[in-house]
Amino acid sequence: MSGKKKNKLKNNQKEIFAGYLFTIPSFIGFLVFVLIPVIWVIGISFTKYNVFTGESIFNGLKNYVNIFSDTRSLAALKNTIWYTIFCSIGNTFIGLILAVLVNDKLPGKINIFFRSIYFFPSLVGLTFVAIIWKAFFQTDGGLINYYLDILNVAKVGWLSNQSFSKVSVLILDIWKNAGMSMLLILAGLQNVDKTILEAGEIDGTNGWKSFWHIIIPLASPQIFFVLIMNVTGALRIYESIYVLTGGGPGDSSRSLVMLIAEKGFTSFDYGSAASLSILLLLLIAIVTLIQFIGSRWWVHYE
Amino acid sequence: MKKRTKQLLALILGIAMVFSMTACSTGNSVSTDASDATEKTSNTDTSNSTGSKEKHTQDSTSTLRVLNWGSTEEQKIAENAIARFNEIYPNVTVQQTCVPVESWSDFIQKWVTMTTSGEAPDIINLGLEAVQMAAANDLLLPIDDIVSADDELSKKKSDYATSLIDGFTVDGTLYGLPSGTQTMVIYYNKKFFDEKNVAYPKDGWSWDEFMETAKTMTYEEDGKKIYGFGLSSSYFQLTPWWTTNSAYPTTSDYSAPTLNSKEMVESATFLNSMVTENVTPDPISSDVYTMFSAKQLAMVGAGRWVLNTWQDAGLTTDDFDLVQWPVNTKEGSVYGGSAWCIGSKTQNKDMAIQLLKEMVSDKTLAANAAGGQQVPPTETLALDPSIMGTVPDNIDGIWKAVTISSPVAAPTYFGSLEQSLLIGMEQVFSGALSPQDALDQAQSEVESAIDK
Repeated sequence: MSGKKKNKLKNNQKEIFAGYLFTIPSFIGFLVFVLIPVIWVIGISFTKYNVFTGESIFNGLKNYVNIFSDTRSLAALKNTIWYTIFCSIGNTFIGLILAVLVNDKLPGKINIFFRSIYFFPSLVGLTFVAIIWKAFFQTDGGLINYYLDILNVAKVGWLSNQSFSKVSVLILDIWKNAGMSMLLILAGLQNVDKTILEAGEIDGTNGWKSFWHIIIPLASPQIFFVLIMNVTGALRIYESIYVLTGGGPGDSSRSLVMLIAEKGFTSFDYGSAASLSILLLLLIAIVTLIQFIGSRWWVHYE
Repeated sequence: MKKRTKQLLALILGIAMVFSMTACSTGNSVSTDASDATEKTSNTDTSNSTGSKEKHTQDSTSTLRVLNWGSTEEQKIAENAIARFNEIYPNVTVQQTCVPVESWSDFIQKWVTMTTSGEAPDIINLGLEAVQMAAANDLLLPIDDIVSADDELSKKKSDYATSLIDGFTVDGTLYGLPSGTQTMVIYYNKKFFDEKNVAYPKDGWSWDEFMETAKTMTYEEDGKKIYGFGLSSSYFQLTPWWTTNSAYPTTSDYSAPTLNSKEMVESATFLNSMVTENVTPDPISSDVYTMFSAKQLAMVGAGRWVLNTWQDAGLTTDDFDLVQWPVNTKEGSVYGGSAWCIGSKTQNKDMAIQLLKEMVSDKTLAANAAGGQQVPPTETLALDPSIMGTVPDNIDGIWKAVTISSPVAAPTYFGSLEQSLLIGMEQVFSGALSPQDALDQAQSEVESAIDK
């Protein structure tokens, strides 16, 4: 018996060893492309680094102090928080509405058609989307101002007015990404047990009550997942702004990631770029933690 | 599956994945990334062969790396030059990396990446915007002695416009020989001026005359708005407004920014008046060159690079012509461009010099200019109608602009300077800040960046 047990133990160890071997490729990738660069960035964030000579001079917390005394960094931080709130809520909310609308309420083929057109923007390359929307947003000759003019509404400087530049980015971001949110939430809605809905109907709950008290709680895990994705995406927003406004006018639409790229790859100030990156990392971690803690109250797992 | 087989399979998979990750490095492979392409060129016959030159077959082979910028056209022109070089030096393998450039910081980044990965380029086609930065960081080999010791290069140097040679000279040391240049002139729509019975602008016109003309040429007809001028808020395109007012973003030795000098603020105020007087479409988001070819603008400032596109859009000599930039305190404009330089880390200086000679040969310079984007850096080529074309009538005015131009301001802190100035001007044009406040802020930002 002890022999059998010994054999079993040996076989288990071999299984475990094989398991570790299978994880090595991913671990090496994680080490080389994630962990080591992050540690390097943390180190650089405390130095003044010369990209041409590779020389780095330790300067303590100066890079971090400069973030909070630099108006541009504070503007980028403020803009990023704005995007995080409005882009994530906008994408999730619009995605939820679209998901409910295409959740088997219409005949089969029409349903598929609407699901496809709502999802289609997610498939189009962002550069092409931005070129088109840039044309739409032109102050003179843009499509949106053309129709505003017909309605006797004054022209809006969508890309040239500091108050509207972020709104333009928000519109483009929601147009592009709400379809993906719709698809993910739809998966959750499809999993809602129809018998529960029928039972609710029998009890007299329908319409808004059914949506708020049955559908949302049962689909809450998917909605939560979508919200997490949208929040972390919004914190790292870059492409939408880069191609549409370039961060301008001034710094009115510039995000933290844009500023990091500018500090690192235009001004070659790797120390400042690294410190901004670490700040962003901490921001993402804190916001995600808050979301997970808050999820206890409204996310219901079966 | 047996346990031993599982372990073996795991090991093989692991090794395969590790090697597949290391194979992601570009090395000498042709990159599938749309942003750059690496080509090897050696011993290729071309119709431009220099068969009359003596072939040099050294015993040993060597490799030269060329870092170039531009489109596939510019890449091809360089490939042809490399092929001519290889006719004479068949044992030298030349690898060209051609990078499309949106900002010169991207180009420098590519250069730094190549250098740190042990593939420092021997020959570099460097933009004026990056010369100060490159020289300050010892990336370039001084070429004064190289040029003076070589008859061919000495003669070539004497052919160039003095202003262009000055642009690639840092603290009295020459670092590159120009391959092409750009400048800015004012293009105007002749038909609009004829319709409005307004005389065509003439060289030497003043800022006040310009503004009056722009106001007169701003009107609405059949529901279509025509603007008098298309103001572009790009760094290069703004420069003639500084230089014609004796203003400049930096001191003459580039050591410090002067963004909020009296003259710079004056120029910025004048530009803002174009926006407040509504003689220009929104300078931040408008594509003024497309608007000019679509006949929505009476005037626009541009260089040679627009001419091919406009002619493709159907514009002819009957439709437009050009005039020098309006003057406030002195005539002027701006020039930019690029030059072929030798990298300071080159291991093969003699061959690099020979390749440099081919890159600045008349054949190569003419081919560069024939593409229609750049202006040739020598007067002979720049006034040659077979190279520059004949559209518009006053095409020779482009060379005149080069000779009266100042270089685009590109100190070692060019990245910060460009960003801060553009952000400041956007704040002026959007009405967020006054020209004085915006330029004070920009000046302060650049000074902080330099101090770091």
